[in-house]
Amino acid sequence: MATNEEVFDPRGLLAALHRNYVSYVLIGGLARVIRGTDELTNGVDICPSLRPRNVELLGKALEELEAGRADRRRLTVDEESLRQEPVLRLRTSMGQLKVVVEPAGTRRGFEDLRRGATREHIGEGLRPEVASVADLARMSAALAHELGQQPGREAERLRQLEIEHSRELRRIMEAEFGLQRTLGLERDFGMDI
Amino acid sequence: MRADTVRSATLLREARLRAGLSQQELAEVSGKDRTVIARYEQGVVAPSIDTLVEILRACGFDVPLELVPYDSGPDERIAQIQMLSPERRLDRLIDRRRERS
Repeated sequence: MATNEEVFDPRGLLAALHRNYVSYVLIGGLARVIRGTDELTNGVDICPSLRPRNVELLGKALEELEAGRADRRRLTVDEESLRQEPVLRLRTSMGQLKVVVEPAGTRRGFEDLRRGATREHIGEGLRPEVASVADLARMSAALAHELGQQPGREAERLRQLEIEHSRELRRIMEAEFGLQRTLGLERDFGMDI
Repeated sequence: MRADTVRSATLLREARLRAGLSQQELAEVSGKDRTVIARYEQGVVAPSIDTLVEILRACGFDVPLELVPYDSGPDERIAQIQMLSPERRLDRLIDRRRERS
């Protein structure tokens, strides 16, 4: 309910999810920043597990965060509602939150992303699971493709933005791959670079 | 070739080739010794800015020398950010957003 659009406290928001034991993978702009992109983002995007117990815990966390829908309609948090809404945009006391159950380019959302995700220390004792660079690049590329099917300038602007994110993530993969090669620790990055 | 002499060496060689001059011809036009031109192009030594401009002008080119804000480019920026821990990357985002507002 208290939702100044300028509020941005990602640690506070993630701490509420942590306190309520919510299982999710961090995706979107914040995940990209944590992976090393140079962009500004103003919200937190998560892909939660849709197991009944987890949806229940997510509901509790959202309550604690005084979450409300960005479109001001009534918020219902259950598996069916989440599945019906590809991107649930929320305003919370800690800033904007997007709940995406099946991000572009993934199959079965959480289960798919969790394989490549790693826990990252982001301060204040928080260690969220963050989507891998390869998965983030895959999501941006898929989103750019989807936006390419839509008419209008705004869709085109967003498409260009996603293409730029995808390129930046590929540069990060190349940099990481180069470092791994130098150290003799080559590993599969899950896609061609 | 030393890293800090690469830029002037590349620039000089490109200017000479675009002007269609041999090293000997450029030496005659610029009044420098041919071996000096060769050493500049090989990056063995770097010319001073004044000498660089002088030789480029002998090739029919100029380099505008003016101060502009430094842009490290995407690859260097990424390399710098990669040096930070995830925690510091998040702090950096929060600071940048605060500065902007």
